[in-house]
Amino acid sequence: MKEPIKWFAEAVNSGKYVEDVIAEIKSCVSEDEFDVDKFMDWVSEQIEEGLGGD
Amino acid sequence: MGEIQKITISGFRGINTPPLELDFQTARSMMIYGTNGSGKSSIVDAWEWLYSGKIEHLAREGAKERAFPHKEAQKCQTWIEVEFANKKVGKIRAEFGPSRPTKPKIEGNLSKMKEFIPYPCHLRYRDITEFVYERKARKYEILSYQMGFGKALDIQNQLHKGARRLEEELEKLKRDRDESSKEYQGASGEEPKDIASYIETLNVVFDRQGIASVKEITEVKISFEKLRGQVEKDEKTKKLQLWKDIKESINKFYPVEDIRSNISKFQEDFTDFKQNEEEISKLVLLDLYEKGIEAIESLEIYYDSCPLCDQPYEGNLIEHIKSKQSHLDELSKRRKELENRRKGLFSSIDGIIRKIEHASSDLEEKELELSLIKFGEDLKNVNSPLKDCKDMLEKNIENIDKKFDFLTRVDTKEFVSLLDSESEIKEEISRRVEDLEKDKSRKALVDDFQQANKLQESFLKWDRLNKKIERLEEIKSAYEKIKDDYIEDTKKSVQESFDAISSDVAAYFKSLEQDSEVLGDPKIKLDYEKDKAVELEIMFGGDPISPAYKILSESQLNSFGLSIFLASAKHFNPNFKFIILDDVINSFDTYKRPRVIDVLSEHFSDYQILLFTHDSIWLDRLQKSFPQWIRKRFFGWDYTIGPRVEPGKNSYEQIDELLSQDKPAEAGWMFGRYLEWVLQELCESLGASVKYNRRNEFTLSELVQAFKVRMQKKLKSDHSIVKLILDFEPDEGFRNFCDHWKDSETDYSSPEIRDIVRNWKNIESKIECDECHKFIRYEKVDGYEHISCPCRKLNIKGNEHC
Repeated sequence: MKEPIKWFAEAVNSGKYVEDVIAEIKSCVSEDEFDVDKFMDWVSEQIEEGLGGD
Repeated sequence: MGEIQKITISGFRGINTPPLELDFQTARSMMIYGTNGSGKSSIVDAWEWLYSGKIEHLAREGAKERAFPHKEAQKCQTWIEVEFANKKVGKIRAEFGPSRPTKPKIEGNLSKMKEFIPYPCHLRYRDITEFVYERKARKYEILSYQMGFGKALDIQNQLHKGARRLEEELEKLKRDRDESSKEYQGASGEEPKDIASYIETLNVVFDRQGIASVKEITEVKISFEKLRGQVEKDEKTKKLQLWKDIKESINKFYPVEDIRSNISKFQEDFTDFKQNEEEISKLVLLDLYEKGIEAIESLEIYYDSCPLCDQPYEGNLIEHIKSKQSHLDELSKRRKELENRRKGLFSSIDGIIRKIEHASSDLEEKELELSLIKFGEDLKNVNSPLKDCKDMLEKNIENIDKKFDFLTRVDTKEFVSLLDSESEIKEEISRRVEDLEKDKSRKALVDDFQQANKLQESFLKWDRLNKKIERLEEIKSAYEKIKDDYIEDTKKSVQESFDAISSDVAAYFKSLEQDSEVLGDPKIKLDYEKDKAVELEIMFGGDPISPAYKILSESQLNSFGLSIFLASAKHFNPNFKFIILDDVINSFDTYKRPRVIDVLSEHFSDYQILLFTHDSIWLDRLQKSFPQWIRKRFFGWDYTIGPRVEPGKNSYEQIDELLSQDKPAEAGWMFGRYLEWVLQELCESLGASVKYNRRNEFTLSELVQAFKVRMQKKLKSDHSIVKLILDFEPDEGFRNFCDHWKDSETDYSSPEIRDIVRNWKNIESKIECDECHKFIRYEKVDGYEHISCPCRKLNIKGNEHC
């Protein structure tokens, strides 16, 4: 089994996944942890950003 | 040279000072004999603590790190130090720090050690038994962590957590959208659909007030401001708008729950409950009593004193614990009832505070008249004391300050004023509104403005939420695919690891279960339908049975568990040939125990092994098979020191020692037990017929008789060994010994016992191989009978055709 960091790095380059989502997951993965809070903060930013002006 | 040169442990669990040293300089492996409670397991606990920073079985039992140091150990005296032969790892030391108990202070290159030993190499009896009966998902986790998939599994669990959080977020947005949809429906009479229908509905309102229809959403704001302008240009219309807004806020605020009597009763009962804090502190024991009863019932171990309170007890242990438990039951009931009321009051006060905050915010920028200024001030004044109450009620009963006065914070003149002024305020507002609404066109204008305002607010909110939901669904779908692929890849790797060890698992299992012809091909099966599920499967009479515990006995299941551990240790720690086995034969039947030795000698001869046992007979067998191992015996345990250690002795050495101290009864008892075991093994392996009895208990006489008859039958009567047996058996002293060795009242002299032992040792030396250290057995191969050891070096019959 590949180390988690390596798996996600390869996933980014594979072109199989939605680019910004896999890139963000990768940035939230450390040696032995996926930082769920950090990822959810990004999700919140994303859904706010998508609104644009009223 | 083994992997480990020395292990030194100080002040840890059952070991105090001076430090206990296990020095491997003279031999690679070590066997330690000690009865239960002699401190053996403290060594394994210390190893696990060094390896992983925790002790899993203690954590499961709720024991925190502060339980690790020996009770007498001083600061800095609790540590373990291991010297590795591998120079890159060197010496590693873990020291317990009372200021930071959860993290041992490490000296040395721990990460190098982890790199060197990726897989745990210690196994306790309890680890096996717990594993084989665990749920599928827990089995998967245990195996995955042990096979080095810990990190991947942690990430997998966190990815699941992330998926749940995304789902929760999505649900929340959908709930908010439904809420705004209802608001829109309230204002327009229909559900929000799209911008066109929203504009159409708004235009009806604008038309009524003579404002030109809008075509684009960008024009809505301008038209709405025109409508606002119409409201604000007339002072009375503006006032009506204000009063109608206030009316809506007040209608949302009232009714307010009057919590004063509930708070008063709670305060009274709470104060009474907190009178005896000492008794309350004992409530934590209730859970311990419950679990203790469960454990004692399932383990069926008998204690002299209560293992929970450490006091001697009369009669039944369970009844003793239950009496202690019932003493606390009444207090527990009161606590539970008070806790329910605490939660109820918390929820009520939280609701009131929310209403206060909404109303305050609604009224904040409005020009209020005198009657409402007082209302606004009351809102501000009650908020802070209510918040204090809420913060206190958020804590469990045990943690609430017993001096905290809830009542004076709730029963204030401001709170009473808020409660009492409801009808007065409502009447005042209604009067104002009715008065201003007498002008029908004014009323229509304000109603239209309010409707347009609600339509605009609710539609924009609904529209924003739709966009958020759409984006979140895109992210969620992409996330799910990544998560599923990662889990799938992890599962594949785990299955590959299962496959990699499967042939070793099968080989060890076959060795341990050689009598079971119908059992075979044990497998660890991954359930692909489930995310994390693994089960043990076995072939039974040609059919796969899963889970294996459906047909396997406890002992057979443990063979499976031990096989998995040994195979994993071998496969996943390829560069570290060291294992610790703590009483792993415990659950094996006596006849099966020697097979663990077979597995170790056949498959782990190049390993360094640290082995603990409390079975002295098995230890004899082990010593015969591994004469070069270091032997130690924990002959007792002292509270101030820990294990009392001496060089390990086999049964003969112990018998000699007892005889030299002129203790013939003890020596005779030890020899009798030893001889009974050896003769049972010989009778079984030679196929001797032992006289049957319904008690299924065999005395030495019956076993010796059966052994003699079998040897006479299969060897010539002038065979030197047969002669020795014939000379041994009729000896009158021996015959008496055979019949009475279990009876401690019978006297034997030391010389008598010494003679019996010497004669038997002489026979034993002729029937035990000095190469494989095993006794002779009977075999018939291709029509030829053999009485030889398994390695065939010792063959006392020769090749005689029958």
